[in-house]
Formats: sequence, structure tokens, C-alpha cells
Amino acid sequence: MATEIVEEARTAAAIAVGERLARLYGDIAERSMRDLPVSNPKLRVEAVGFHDDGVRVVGIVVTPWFMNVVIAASPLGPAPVAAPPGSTATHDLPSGTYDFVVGEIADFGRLDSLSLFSPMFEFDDPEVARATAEAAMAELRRAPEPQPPAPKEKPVLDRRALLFGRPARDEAPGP
Amino acid sequence: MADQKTLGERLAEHGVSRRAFVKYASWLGSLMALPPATSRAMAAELAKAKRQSVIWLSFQECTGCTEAITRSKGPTLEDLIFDFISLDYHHTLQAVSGEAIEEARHAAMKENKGKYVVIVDGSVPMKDGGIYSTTAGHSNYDTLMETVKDAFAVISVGTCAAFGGIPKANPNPTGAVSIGDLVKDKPVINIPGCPPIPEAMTGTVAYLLSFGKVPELDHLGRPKAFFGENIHDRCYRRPFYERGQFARGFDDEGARNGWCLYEVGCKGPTTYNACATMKWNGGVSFPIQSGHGCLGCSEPDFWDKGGFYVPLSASIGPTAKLVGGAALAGAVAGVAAAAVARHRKSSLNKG
Repeated sequence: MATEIVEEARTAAAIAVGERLARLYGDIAERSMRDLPVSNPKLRVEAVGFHDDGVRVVGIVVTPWFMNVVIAASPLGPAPVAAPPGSTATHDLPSGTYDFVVGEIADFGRLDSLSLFSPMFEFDDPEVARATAEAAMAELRRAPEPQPPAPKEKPVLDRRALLFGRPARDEAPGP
Repeated sequence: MADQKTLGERLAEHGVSRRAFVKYASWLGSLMALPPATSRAMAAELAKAKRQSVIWLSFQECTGCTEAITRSKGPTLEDLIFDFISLDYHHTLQAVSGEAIEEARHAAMKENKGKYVVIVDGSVPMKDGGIYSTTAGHSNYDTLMETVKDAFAVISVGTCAAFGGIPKANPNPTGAVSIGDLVKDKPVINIPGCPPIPEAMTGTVAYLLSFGKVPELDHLGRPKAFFGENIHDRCYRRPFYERGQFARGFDDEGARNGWCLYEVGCKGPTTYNACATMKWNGGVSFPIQSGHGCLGCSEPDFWDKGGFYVPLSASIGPTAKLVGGAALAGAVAGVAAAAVARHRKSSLNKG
């Protein structure tokens, strides 16, 4: 019971983080981006798929000028390992490992970002942008198929199979 | 000429320990996002490899690519790579000249038939019978086709060789074409850039040497290990872009504060290269860190894309729009998966 309550609180907090980010980027859109050619006037700011993964808040921010996966500290979780803005922070997600760029937003604090689209010239419909963000989040949360254990370090190592998953042993080198 | 000693033996002669070599291979492997076990295998294979005969052809170029590759921070093992490969022909670096060097090229081709690697910098002029660039009385086209005939693989270094580059820029007076436009029956690896990152060149050569095969390439023939992500996505100034903080000139407050250079023409968003992560001069800096936008030099036709100081806009961005309607779900799933996959580090790369 107690776990469920904590779970609910974390989810609500994560959604609130998304809404807060959407508000902040909405302000930036109005204040700084509106008249810039890089901003796609057909799109709007949205927070998509914000959730707490047990350690931190993960979500996708859609704006008229970028779509990023973002990671923020959970209000109910530990503080992130300190890193200077502009540096790289490596994060594990269910689907794999990704390098995020460390950033900071006024009135928010540390926010690590992974760019999916930027600028947003591919999109001309906010519904399509949102659907793409939802699909990307589903992709990020999908664990990969279990892989066969890596072969031992020996000369018999099949590098082709190891690197590219191709059973190409004994083929002539190169195409 | 290629000799019979292995790289490992030659290294020992140079006083390079096996440990230092494994360390180097691991570093190289990490650059190419190879898993640690593969990096160790690479070290082992590299140590066993015989010196690879390399024939370097220079066509319509400025020698900047050679400048770049020779100025990798030394003395590192990168420099020693030049002891490992047998550079049998290179206009700028060869000591001999005239008939003797043309003979050396022919001898290397004969001796290493089917095994040598041809590195090319510069584009090939095709107009007026190719008279705009010749060596030893032969057109670049003739020299190229003769030399690649028995090669194992061809590496086009620099944007001129990879995509035609500046010689091909409008109005392309010499009818310049890329190496890939001409060589169709051999693997051609493109390492564009003006010039390319030195480690992208030496790393690709080391990969070919150790594994005897071409690394994974993108749709423009570039090794994904170095050209998989665009500059903008990995730029340290990216948070300024997201916050709408842009320099509007090279002497304004934004420029002084190190804000995003999009508005002064940075081509980072459409340029795939490793400058933002590997940087230059041994990891010291890269153009954006020095206060200038990316010129997009590793992309085809970068010279003719509307001006280095003109901001990218929708008109020069991607033209294919994602539209709504019945096909929506399937279309966005594919696009979203591709966007995610672009950044995913190999799952084998962990641990």
C-alpha cells in the first residue's frame, strides 16, 4: 500500500516537472523565439511521456524549434552527479545507453538533454510532432532483445558476428 | 616497400611496449565505439598485421588533408602508424621524384596486388579530357583508374575526394567529380572534412588494417563511428539554442557570452562529423568553441549552400514533411525509432 502511494506521488511529481518545463519553454517561445526563422510557427510546446523511472524524471519536450529527451532530478529522488553545463552526461535507459548534453534553465535548474529533432522543419502539424514524441518514448522504454553472451577473448572471436550480428565467418575480407 | 616484420615487432624496435599499444588500440576503439573486447582483439590483430602498402594519390586539392593527418598531436602512436603502413607513394611526403617514384608506385601495385589501400585526396577533373590536373603526363582519371585496379579498398579523404568539394563548387570549371563517382567496383570509404579530423583518418586506416574489412558506413559512405551524429546535437552551446539565446553578430553580447551561433549561420544542425566530441589539435577546441559557426565542410556541396553567414531556414532544411492522416502511426514510429537509434551507443559498448 505504502509503495503504491509513493509510486503515485512520484508519477504526479514527474508530470508536474513536465508541465513546469512546458511553461518555461512556452515563455521562451513567446519571448525569444517567435520571430526567428528557426522556429516553426505551426508547432507548439508540449511535454510528452513524463515519468519517474525510479531514480529520476524522464520525458520528451516538444517545442517549435527542437524535440529533446530530457532527464531531470526527481523532486523525490537523489540530486544528479554534478557536471558543468555543456558537458556530456551518459545515461542508461531501458533501450540502451545515451550521451546527454548537460544544461541548465533559469527557475528550474539542471536539465540533461538528448536531441531527437532540431530544428523542427520536418514537422508541420503539432499532432504529428506529438505522435512522434510518443513513439520515441515507447522506443526508449523498450528493452532490447536479450543478446547471446559475448564470446570469450580468443583468436576464434567472430568479430563480424560480435560487431554486426552477422554470421559472416569465413567470408573473404571486405565486400 | 612493405617488409615482412609484423607491426608488433616493429613497435618493439621503436621501444613501444605491448601495454602502450593495447592502450592505444583501446583509445582508438573507444573513438569508434567498439566494445572493449573488440578493442583488445583489434590490438592483437594490429600487432600481428604486416605493414600495409598504401598508395596516396593527390588530385585537385590544397594539401590541407595531408597537413591535417601529419599534424596529429605527437609523438603518439598515430604518428607511428606511419611506420606501420608502408607509404609507397605520396607526392608531398615522398623523397624521390620523377620516373623513380612512378616506378615505386607500379612496384607496390604489383607486389601487393589485391591487398594495397589507395588513399585519395582531391577531386578528379573530367572536362576537356581531364587536362586540368595531370601527373607524370597522365590525367588524374587515368592515374586513378590504373592505381585502384588491384586495390583492396579506396579511402577518399577530404571533401574534394569524397564529394567533389571546392573544385566542384559552382560553376565547376574543371568538371570535377568525386572518387566515388568513378570507382564503382571497390569499397570506397569517404572521410570528408575540410580537412577531416586526423583521428578519423588514422582510425579508419587502423580499422582496415586490423580487421581487413570496411567499417560500418552511412548513406554517404562515411564511417558511422565518426559521422553518426550531427554537430548541433552534441554541441556544448546547445543549451543556449534551447533557451533561445543567440549571438546576432560576432561582436555582440551574445557572442561574448558564448551563446548559440545559429543566427550567424552555423551549419551544425545539418553537418554530420565528430568535431563537437573529438575536437581538434588533440582535443583542444573546434570551430564553434573558437567563436565561429560550423561551415558544414563534411557535407556534399557545402560551398554552395547559400552562404556561411546565412542562418539555416526551413527553405534549406529537409523538404520531406511528416504528414498526418492514415499512414501516421507507421510513419512516426519509423522516424522516431531512427532518431533514437542515431544516439544509442552500441549495447556491446558497455562494461
